[in-house]
Amino acid sequence: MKRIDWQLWLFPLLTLVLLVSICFQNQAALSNKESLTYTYLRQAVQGRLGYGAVGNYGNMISFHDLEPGDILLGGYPGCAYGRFSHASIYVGEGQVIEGYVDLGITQQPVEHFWTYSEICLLKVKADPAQKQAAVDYARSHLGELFYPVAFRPGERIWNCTKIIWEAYGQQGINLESNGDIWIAPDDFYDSPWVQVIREKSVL
Amino acid sequence: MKIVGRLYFIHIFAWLAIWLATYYPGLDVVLAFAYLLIIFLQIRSLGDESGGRAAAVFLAWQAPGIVFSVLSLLPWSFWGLKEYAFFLLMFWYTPVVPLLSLLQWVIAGYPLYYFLLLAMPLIYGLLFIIFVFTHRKQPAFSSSRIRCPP
Repeated sequence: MKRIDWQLWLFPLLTLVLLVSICFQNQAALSNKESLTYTYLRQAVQGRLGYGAVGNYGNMISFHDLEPGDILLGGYPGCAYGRFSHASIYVGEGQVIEGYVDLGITQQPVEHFWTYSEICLLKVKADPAQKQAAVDYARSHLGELFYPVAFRPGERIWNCTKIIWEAYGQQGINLESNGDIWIAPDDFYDSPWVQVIREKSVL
Repeated sequence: MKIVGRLYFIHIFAWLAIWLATYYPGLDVVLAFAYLLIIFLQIRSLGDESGGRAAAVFLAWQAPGIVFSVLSLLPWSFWGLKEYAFFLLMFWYTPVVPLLSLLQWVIAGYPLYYFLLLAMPLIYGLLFIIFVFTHRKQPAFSSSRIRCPP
């Protein structure tokens, strides 16, 4: 009888086991036709995979009344996973903490949000101490790894939305109520925990 | 070139399995080490090949990583590919991403993993050379053999 080549077949077998396990644990989320997973798949079938047509759309929204802990959402036309492609948490003094593939979790000036064609500023309905604790949590993860399709569990691998979701999750506030396996910027927009400060669409 | 096919097969399924394993934090790190062990065992079998043939195997196997790394470093973009080159580089090296996530230093405003991903074809090349040459059973080139006098 021929021996199984375990070096060749270990990862295909693990892929199958992990896929079944994740699907089994998330049956409700994965059967929801409005979930992010379905949105990704629908858009992929239509040939859309990325974050849309990057450009400088000059929305010139005002940031004057932002407070630490507020959330900014930005989007480009043709984004594959919703109206918004990016999220940041405002940390005060004209700075936001956000995630990029090359910079990891990083602190940047807020003004770059003027480049988006879709922009929205959100206030989280939480007390200032909770919001400051969320900011401190995000700040404690500066420099950590960004992976575009990061799953919800874990505090080592992030994307721009997961770091904000976890920062508020640590304060007992769940900004994503669908129970999906990943978080999208649009989830924050739809969350009952936030109110829109202002939003703008320039196209 | 059967070995190239095997390395691609292992790498692509390791990509899928290790990405899925990030859903279970900790398991991803274990599988990343398992991936390196399996790659080591596969490459070890090249110990009897000539240096040129071993280099050809490496270049064929790591061609995507080399292309994405070079595209990321170029100052200009071909067909807008530079926009996505670093994303693709990160996806290609997903099997070692859990190990990179353990390194949390920032140098000159960039995280250490950024530099390591750009250098990953060189790091893989170095490991490849070490794995191959530590398992040579005979010298690679006949001219270097010590001949006994008749």
